[in-house]
Amino acid sequence: MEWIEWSSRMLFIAFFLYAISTVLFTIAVSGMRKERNVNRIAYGKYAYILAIIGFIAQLTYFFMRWAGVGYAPVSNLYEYTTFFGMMMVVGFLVVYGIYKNDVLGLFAMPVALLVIAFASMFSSEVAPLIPALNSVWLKIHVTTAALGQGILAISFASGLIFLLNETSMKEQSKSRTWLEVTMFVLMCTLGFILVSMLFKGIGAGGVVEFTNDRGQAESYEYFMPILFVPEGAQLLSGASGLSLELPNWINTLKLNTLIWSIIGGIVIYVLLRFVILRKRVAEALQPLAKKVDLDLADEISYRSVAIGLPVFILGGLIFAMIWAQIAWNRFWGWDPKEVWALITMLTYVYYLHMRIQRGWTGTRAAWLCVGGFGIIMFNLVFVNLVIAGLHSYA
Amino acid sequence: MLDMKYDGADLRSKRRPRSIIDRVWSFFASVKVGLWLIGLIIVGSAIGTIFPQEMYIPQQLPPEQYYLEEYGTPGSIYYALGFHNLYTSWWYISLIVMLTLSLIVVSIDRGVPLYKALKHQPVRRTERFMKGQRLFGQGEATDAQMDEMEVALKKKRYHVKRDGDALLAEKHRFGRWGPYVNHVGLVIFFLGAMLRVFPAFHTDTLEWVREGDTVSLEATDGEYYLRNDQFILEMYDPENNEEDAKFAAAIEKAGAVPKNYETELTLFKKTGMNEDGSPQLEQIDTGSTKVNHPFKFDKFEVYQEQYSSRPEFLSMSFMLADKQTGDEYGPFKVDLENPEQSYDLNGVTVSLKDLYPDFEVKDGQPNTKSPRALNPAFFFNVETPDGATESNLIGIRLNVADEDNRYEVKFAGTEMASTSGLRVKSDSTYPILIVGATIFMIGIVMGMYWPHRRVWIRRHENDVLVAGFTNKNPSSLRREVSPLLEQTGLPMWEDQARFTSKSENESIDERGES
Repeated sequence: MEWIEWSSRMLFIAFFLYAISTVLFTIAVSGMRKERNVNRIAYGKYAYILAIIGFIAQLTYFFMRWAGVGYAPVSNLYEYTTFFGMMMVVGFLVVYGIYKNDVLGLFAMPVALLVIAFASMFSSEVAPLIPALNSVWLKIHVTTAALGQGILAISFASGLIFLLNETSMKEQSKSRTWLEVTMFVLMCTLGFILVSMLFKGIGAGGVVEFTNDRGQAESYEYFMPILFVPEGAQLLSGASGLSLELPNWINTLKLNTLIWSIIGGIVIYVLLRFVILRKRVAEALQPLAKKVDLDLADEISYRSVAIGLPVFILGGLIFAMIWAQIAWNRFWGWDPKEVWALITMLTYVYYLHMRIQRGWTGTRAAWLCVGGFGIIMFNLVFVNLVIAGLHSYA
Repeated sequence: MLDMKYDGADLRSKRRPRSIIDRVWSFFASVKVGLWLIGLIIVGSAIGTIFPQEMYIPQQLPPEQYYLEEYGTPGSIYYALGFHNLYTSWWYISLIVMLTLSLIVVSIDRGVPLYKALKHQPVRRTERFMKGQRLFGQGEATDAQMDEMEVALKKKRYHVKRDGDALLAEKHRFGRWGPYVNHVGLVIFFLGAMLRVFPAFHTDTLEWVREGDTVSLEATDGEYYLRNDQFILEMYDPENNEEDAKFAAAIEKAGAVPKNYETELTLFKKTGMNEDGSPQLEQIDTGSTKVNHPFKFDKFEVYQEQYSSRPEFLSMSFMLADKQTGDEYGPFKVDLENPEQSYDLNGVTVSLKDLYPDFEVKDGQPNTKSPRALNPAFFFNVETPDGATESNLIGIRLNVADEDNRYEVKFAGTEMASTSGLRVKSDSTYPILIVGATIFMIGIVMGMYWPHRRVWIRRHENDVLVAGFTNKNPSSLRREVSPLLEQTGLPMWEDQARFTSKSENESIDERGES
């Protein structure tokens, strides 16, 4: 048990270091002169070093937890998402190593932070490994796939930089609207994290019991104030408040969490937009994104895909098929996770062909990178939590 | 700028179509068509994950009813549109077949001319060609500077060719074949996958084998036999196993968690037939199959796929009690596989009139749900020495008999066996799939990690022209070669396709501030 406790501490330290690293990148970028590109103090360099130390701390977390649980800790949503966050940091460290661009750190590190914070909302309890997962391929397949996704995620960060830089905030355009939507989705993720922490802190929620469509008694344990319940549900504990009854085929527990996350996102967004920044969130970020020229942002996106996609294909499809053959005696079975890994690959394949064959660089390419990351996150969050399949953890 | 994708090679698909074959060829050779196909496959695949496919839903209910009850009206529509079997639908398979055709045609259409063009490329290029490159520069320079450049480029591992006052430096040309190699790999993979349509290429059967039983393996055409020596189901045990203690909290919440499913087995080969019609078996191997560790023999693999959560009864034993004297006789054992019809117990004959392996009462009559001995019940007739016949229906928590009976049949013990569900498979397409996937992966790495780069330098009138081309990432080429141009003093090139910001005015404002 010692190992587990220490591993959690290391993860906290890593998170803290990443946060400071982000702050230093912000200082570095805010003080950057576009022409000379120099600061009196090399904040960017210190930020990078902190990110490396943070990465080492997280690596320590990873191996300590491994020692504690007795298997590669990538077997549930908490462990996998944490690892994915770490692989995003690896992706960033690699790409920063090539381009030494502080703006990338300013955008990539917060996304990694958000992913790790999101991970910590899931149960970190040590769970026994079921026979299907007990294989060397667990570490080989999952770590390679996550590394590929982590590197691909960097193309999202630099794609976002490109779009923030290039989009005119003065006139209405599709890009301007969708950028704001992207910002809002990020706020909802943050909203989910903050709302979960808040309600866990004050102990809101309750338990309801109902009859599911197979006629069996089932109960939902809510950790957030109850907004939606299944038809004919009985409240066993907690406060009821105003709760809406919905048809049984809707999972009201998940819907409840989703709606609260969106409410959290709206609160944060409204505060930022109308109270703190008093302008569009994208507009507020634009001056920071302007510190990179467009060619560089576009190139970083492309390079991240060029490096990340082969790694992802190897880990997320080829190793995946080998393991599926061994564990489930079929290499491909149209399980939702498999299908979404295929979709991820095809999306980036589409990106590369469009770019190389049809000259889609710049804005359209950047949007494809944003969309690609959306698909990766969809595969992580929705496919595990909402769509049932062999890979479901929850 | 020039379109350099295929080095200006003459593509069949770009000629004026003459015949229907030309038109079909042009259709599949079109990158636009290929990308549409990819886009449609993305959308189609995604739709297939909205609700589970038919193969993943429970089989108790008719699918029509299941989709409606579980997912409401949207589920019903999903079923009506045939999306419950989307990945085997005609249109999805057509998309995959068309993509395969597109991969084949596009690779031949472009790969072959490109190969020829690059093999015979001249060192000296026209002025128009050089000016048409994305990276281009022009200015004065000496021959000595060009020689110096040749050395510098060689140091960067370029292959340099000279033709008088013209120079061609080239690197990683083989990376250019990456896309064609990966397309070939994909086509091989798809063809391998399509071969699986023919039953001759693979066998796949599920064998339920009870502990102690030997079965002929259908997948091997009866050539091999397997005996289930023991089925092992191990659970995590936090109380007694020190290593599992850390999982105590999780197990308390989730209930028992399995740790291992394993069947210990013995493999036999049929060598002939005995006179009584039973096979002569020769023991070949012993081993075990467990999840993630299939047992392999010949070209077959045996997977631990399922097990029966309810063990079957092998036999049941009974005692016969004489209620008058209090004496008990027996026990006698009824073998459920080959039950004897009567049992002699100290002069009293017990005969088995009926046997229900999986007992239920249906329409007021005793009945059996299945032939598997899951819940056996027995109908015995006891013939007493005084010539009377007493009936007994006895089973698990079941004993129906007349109260006035002299004799009572009592339950004395059971023998049970687990049943293991073993998947026996062979697939001769695996090597094709492995070769295809390997070639695909090699092609991807070739294409993505080894970018083809070329630099042309030539004298034109009084100037020297410098041009560069790469099919992937012009900025990296610029970063690699620009310092060499500066160092040798050759004219610097410019990227002729740089982005300009739409919001340039805003950034000028900012510069004004800073």
